[in-house]
This record gives sequence, C-alpha cells and structure tokens, in this order.
Amino acid sequence: MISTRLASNLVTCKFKFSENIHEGDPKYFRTAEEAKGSLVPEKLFALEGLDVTGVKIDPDQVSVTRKSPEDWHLHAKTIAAVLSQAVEKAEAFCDADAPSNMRSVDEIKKLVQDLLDAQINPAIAAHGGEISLIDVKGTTIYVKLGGGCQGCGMANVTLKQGVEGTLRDAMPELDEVLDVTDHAGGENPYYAPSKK
Amino acid sequence: MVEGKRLKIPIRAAESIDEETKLLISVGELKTLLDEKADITIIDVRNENEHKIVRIEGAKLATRDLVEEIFEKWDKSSRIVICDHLGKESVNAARALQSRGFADAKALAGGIDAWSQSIDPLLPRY
Repeated sequence: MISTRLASNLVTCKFKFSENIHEGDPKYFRTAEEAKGSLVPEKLFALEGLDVTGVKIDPDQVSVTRKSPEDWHLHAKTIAAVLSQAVEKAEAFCDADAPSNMRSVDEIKKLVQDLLDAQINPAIAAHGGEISLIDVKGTTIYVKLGGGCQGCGMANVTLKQGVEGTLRDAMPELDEVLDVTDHAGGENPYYAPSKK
Repeated sequence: MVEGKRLKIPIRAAESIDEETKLLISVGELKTLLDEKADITIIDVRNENEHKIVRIEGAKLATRDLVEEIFEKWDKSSRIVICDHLGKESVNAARALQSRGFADAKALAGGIDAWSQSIDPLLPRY
C-alpha cells in the first residue's frame, strides 16, 4: 500500500509505504550516474518525460524530485508502478554499498547557518526581517521569521519562494522548511487578533 | 429518546442539512458514476497552477470562458460535479449553478483531498 503527498516545493513527491522497504540509513541519488547499480533509482531516472532530478530512499518512504511540478496525477502512478514492482519481487530498492550522500544533522545546521548569515539575512535585512534557525530534524529545517517578518501576511511567501529556494539549491535532499514563528505573538506583531 | 433529540433541531438548521445533501456528492458516489461511464463533467475551481500539478482525470479547469459557456449554452439537465481542494469553495459554486437551474450540479464533498484519501491514494495530496 502506497500513499502519496507533495512536499511544499511541489516538485518532490513522497511515496509512503505501509511497510519498510529499505534497511539502514537513508540514501540520496542526485544523478542517473549515481543511481547506476541501484535498481529503483536507476529505473526512476530512466523514466522518459519525467525529468527526475533526485531520488531519496528512506526506510518506509521514497521521495522523487522532478524538474517541473506539472502532471503529478499521471507521473505519480508511473513511479508507483516501478516501486510496486520492486516490492512485489522483494527486490532491494538500492545498492547497499551506494554512498548515502546525506548530510548529517550537524552538517545541515552549519550549512543553513552559513547561508543565513552570508546570503539570506543580509538580503532581507533591508525589509527589517531576520530569519533564525531553530532546529533540524532529519532533513526538515525549522526556522523562525523575526523582525519585520513576524506577523506579516507575506511571511509565508518570503519563506517558500526565497529562503526555501536558496536552501534547497544548496541541499536538494531537504524535506521541508517550516516556519515556527508565532505570527500573532511578540510585543508588536503585524497582526494581532482582536481582544474581547 | 433519539426522536426527542431530533425534534429539538431548529427548523433552520434542519433546512440547511437538507440543502447540504442537495448540494453535495461524496467521493464514493462520484467514483461509482465514473466507473459506470456516466455522462458527467467535473469542473475544477482551484487555480490554474493547482490544476496543472494534480487533478482528477478529465476534470476541466473553470476558466472564465468555460463558466460563461456553461451558464449560457449548457443544457440545464447536465450532470456537473464541482471540485476544489478541500470542499469549501465548491459548495458556493454548486449553489450558484443550482440557483440558475442546473438541478444536477453538485460539489464534491471534501474536494480532491478526500478523493486522494479515499479513492486514489496515488493522486498526491498537498
């Protein structure tokens, strides 16, 4: 049984299995070349017209990233057929010796902090905004939008289009970038619910 | 006991429940109709991007032109199912169609999200 969900970037689709399909650490394949010798990633990169740019294999989930977000309703079925075939034949999804290509949580934290300091925060400082890294769990990043971002209705747009794009360019294996900001909190938020 | 409770429903609330059943179609009912190859049109009232990314097979994007065409040219007995993301906006669209005489216009309860959850798990949720 497979269920599917798009990541917030819309070009990545996660295929979640009701059972485990991979043992050990997650593995990430960034090119057809890297996927050589690994059954499922090799097949996925070879699918015509899908323009697969990344395949990540977790114990109970496969995440497939494409160049374009269009027509997932068709392509998800094509991908699921490849995955189901491997499950039915009880084949290993990927070469156990393939390099993981996954950064550790500490490596991700450092890279995010470097990007925030060097690129992102200087760019949004002009608008009085500031973004800080709160936590990294697996490949999901939790950030907090502060300063002029806090409570701003455009904060989500800033996050999704700007910050997430920059982070994802540096780390395509990222799962989600989530905002933990309380947009109605603080001393002087842009938006505050009316008091009764 | 149950009867007693039922009687306590304010008339207006009861009417709105009635109205809701007239406006909604469940994902299960739609699936049955599609499997039977019923003559039915699914109109997608989400935005163009959402429509491009993921849609129920055959659903048509509700462009301004299409909406005008439906109102002006389509037979009032056409079977129309309005689909949105979560089943919130589609009810208004179905109500508007019904008020213009399209008695068989319904909103898909729960939207495309409910369709993914109950009918087609390979239609990615978002």
